[in-house]
Amino acid sequence: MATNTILLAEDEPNDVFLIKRAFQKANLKNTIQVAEDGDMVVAYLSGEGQFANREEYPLPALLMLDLKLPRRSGLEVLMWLKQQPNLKRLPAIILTSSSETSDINQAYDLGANSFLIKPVSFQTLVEMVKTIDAYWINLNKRPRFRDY
Amino acid sequence: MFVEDDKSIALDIKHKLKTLGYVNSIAVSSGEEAIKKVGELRPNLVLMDIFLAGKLNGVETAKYIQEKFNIPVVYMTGHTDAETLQQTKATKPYGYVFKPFTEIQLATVIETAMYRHQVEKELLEAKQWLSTTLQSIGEAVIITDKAGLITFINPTAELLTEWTRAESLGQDINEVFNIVRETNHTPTENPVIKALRKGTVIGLKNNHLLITKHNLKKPVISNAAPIKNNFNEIIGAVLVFRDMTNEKAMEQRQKLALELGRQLTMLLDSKDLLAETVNRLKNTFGYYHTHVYLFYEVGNGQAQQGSLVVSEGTGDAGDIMKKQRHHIPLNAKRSLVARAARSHRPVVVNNVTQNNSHLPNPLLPDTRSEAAIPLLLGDRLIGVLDIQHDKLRHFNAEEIRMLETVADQLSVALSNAQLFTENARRSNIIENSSDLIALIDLNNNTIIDINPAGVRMAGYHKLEDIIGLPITELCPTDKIMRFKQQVIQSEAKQNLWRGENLLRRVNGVIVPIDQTIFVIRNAQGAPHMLATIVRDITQRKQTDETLQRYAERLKILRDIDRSILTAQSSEEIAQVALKHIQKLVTCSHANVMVFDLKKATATLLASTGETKQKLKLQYQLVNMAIVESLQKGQVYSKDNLSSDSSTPFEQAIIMEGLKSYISVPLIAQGELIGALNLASDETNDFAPEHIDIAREVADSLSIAIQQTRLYKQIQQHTIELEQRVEERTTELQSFAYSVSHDLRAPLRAIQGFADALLEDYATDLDLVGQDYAKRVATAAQRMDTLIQDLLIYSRLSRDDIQLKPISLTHILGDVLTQLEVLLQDADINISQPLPDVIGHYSTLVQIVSNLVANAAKFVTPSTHPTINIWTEKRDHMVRLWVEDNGIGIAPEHQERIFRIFERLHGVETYPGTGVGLAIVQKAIVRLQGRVGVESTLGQGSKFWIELLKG
Repeated sequence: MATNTILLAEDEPNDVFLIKRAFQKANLKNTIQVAEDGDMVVAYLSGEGQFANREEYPLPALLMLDLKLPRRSGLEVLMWLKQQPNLKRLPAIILTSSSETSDINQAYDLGANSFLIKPVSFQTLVEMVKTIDAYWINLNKRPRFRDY
Repeated sequence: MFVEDDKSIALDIKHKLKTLGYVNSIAVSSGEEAIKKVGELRPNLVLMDIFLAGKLNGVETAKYIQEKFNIPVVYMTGHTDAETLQQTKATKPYGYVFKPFTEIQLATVIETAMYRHQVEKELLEAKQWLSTTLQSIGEAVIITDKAGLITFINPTAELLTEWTRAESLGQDINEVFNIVRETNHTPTENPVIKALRKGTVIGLKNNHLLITKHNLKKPVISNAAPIKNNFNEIIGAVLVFRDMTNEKAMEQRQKLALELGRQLTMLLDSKDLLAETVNRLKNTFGYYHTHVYLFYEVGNGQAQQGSLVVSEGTGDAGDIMKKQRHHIPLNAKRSLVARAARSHRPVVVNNVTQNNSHLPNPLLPDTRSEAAIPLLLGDRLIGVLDIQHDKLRHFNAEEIRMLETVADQLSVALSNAQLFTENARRSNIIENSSDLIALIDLNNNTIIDINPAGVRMAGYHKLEDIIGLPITELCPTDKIMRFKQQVIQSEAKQNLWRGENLLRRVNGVIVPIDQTIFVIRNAQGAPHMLATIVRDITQRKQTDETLQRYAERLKILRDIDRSILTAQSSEEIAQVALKHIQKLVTCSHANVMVFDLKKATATLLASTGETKQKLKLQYQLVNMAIVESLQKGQVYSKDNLSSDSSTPFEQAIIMEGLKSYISVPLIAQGELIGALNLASDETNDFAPEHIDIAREVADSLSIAIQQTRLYKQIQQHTIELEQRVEERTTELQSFAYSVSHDLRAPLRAIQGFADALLEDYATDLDLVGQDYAKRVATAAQRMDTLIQDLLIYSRLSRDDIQLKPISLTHILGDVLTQLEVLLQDADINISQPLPDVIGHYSTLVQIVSNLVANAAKFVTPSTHPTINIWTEKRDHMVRLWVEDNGIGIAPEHQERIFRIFERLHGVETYPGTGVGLAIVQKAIVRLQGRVGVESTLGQGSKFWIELLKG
């Protein structure tokens, strides 16, 4: 099931607002689903509870993951994801404030597909989401993973 | 062959001969032809007609043939007149055959003649053989008839008797072979006469003299034998005799040589010995010159090197050579002496004028023959005996054998003399020597002789008490017997042993001695006696032992010091100390205790001996008097432990059978920290010297234990510090993380919403409002840059940096790419070479990019930025220069600019965080490099960094 849905794991409402606004400014029509903490990301992807309804909460084409999340950190989510036989091929982009080498290396070690720093300048953010869409949604050949 | 001038008769004879089997008979018709043919064909027999046509008749021809060719001739004749027969008889024909003859007659005559000729031939040969033999043999031979008149005398006999053959033939044997007794020169019966009389072989032994025709007397031995005919009648006698002059002389010389040798072996002084040898040899045997070379080895003895030095010589020549220390290198090719020395065999030149290997000695012009005899002791070369004679061909095998005998004896004598001088030079003061000097019989190992000092040293009163005792009684070890065994087995090779041994006195006390044993050899070089020189080294031993103890003490202290350095535990150090102290102080038990004075306890740190298991780990310090004395640094000693002992520790060691102990305080920095305890199973067992040693050890031990404790404290401290640093670092990291993550989130919001305000509500804001909103966004942006820079700065001190060779070309390439936008209006000149440096890639990129960015940034707005980059080699460093045409830095600011947050200009003029150069400074330190600046205000700046060459 081809989808343009992007799952955004982000607890900071301002960032959520600005990212959504950036997509809008860039004239992108992707559906942005938001998970506010690590557990919710896991629940969404597992299709637990309310997320069992895949009509409303479809499996995303891309996961945009902040590292600093309540309950379960971005790296923990990533580790979980890569251990799920059905989900492990889901492209995951880290979008975070941290430019610490240790964070970057650990994320790649756990199987992150990309590591992006949230820019302070909004214009830069707009450019960034354009690139993400152009590359990950349109250009990139998506892997197949089983739906349930 | 037959000679017949009548052809018909010749034919007949030929026919008859053929019938008889002589198929190849040859017929000739004249005497001349017969002689010619006989010469060519050598027939076995010639049949000769007496009357022949031609010049030669049969008789003449026959005579010639028989004499010239020794071929038998038989006459054939028809005439038998007496005259003719008489003529033929003179030619001694082998037979006659009278014509006409039958075949049988012819055959008989021919066979008889041939047989007779054969017998005659054999007889003649035998005669010739005998005669030749008698003429040529070395023995003198005289043959007489039965009356004793001489019939034969051979040349040897002529020479010996001085009677010629002509004079002697027919003479009475008594005239020619005139002999007398050697002892009294009285006549004796001639052996020939006696043999003729008795009919048996008569021999005369060699104590007789032959008186020659010219009255010379020669010693001879002789043998006379009767000659008998077939009827056993005595028909004569044969006398064989031999001149014994040479043998006699040689015998005499051998005797002299032996005597000389015997006398030589009795000389114990090398100098006398050599002088005596050369002079006696010269005088006894009539030599022209005699001298002795001694061999002096050079080098390691394997490569045959060395010199033969004249040590003694006869006459003036000898003195001169001795003075000059005339010497011959062992490897001298031509030298007779060196050759003899090398080969270990005599070398003889019997005619020096014809021998080109002989080097004439100007001091000895009359030398004609020379012999060099090596002086050997087993395989060892001692020297060479050199003998010269003024006659040619003097040295025969006999003479050389004799000289070898002398040389052998001389070698042994020399060896003995050398040994004697080496080891008992003081032979005349043996009696007064304070050393024991004794002679030992090699057969039964008993003492043959000993000097007074020896008697005293061994503790005896009288010489008689000690003579005849086995040497093992005095020297109980097997060292002497082992040496003797070696001497016997290895023959000449082993001559001396020196080393330490033990001497047992008569009272059984054993004392250490320094002993020398050497072999005394007999004339044949065989071991004969052992001599020994003994010195009592008790005193020296004691000194040695004291020194050794001091050395041991030092060693312990060193070991203890080493234990400190290797930071072992107190227990281990105590163990080391105990291990060593037991070597110095004999004690049954030793231990180290540490005290806790507050709790009044002593804890066992280490312990030795059997009591180790029996002691408790901790004792109460109950006797405060002991503790107090220890605290004052006094050693507490108990010479005789009794059952009423007050302390639990004392009671414990009494239980183990210990009778005395000392307790040595361990004091560190003025505080009593424990004790070193030594205990013995004998009372009063600790001498002051032992207490001193224990004290020294205790002092070192105290320091060691204290050090260990301090070391442990420091270690603990270090661990704590490290933990704290670790904690701080972790804290700092999480702080930095928070800063980077959380502090930036609101900034993004500020910037983002300011931007949203400007976009979405632009119409509702006037220009001032819009400016404010822009300022909000810009401020947020600047704060973000500042945070980023700070993060980089803090990361520089936290990150692990691995240094390795880096290409500056790559670094600059990266930097220019990163700063592409900033540099788009600048002129950049990079000069080669750009060598490799030691660094860390991303850190170095940060440094260079900061410098290049600054160079582009800090220019007046009207200036077109020009940046020059080049390198310079300085020893093992590379200096990278970045030069700009910017605003420059005043000297007073040049140091400040590297500090963090330092800025020289307002943000409005030149944007920046004030962290850039601080990053450069910190980073270059981490790369083990340096940074600096040369600048004049308004004239641009030259920044440089220095890094190790890659």
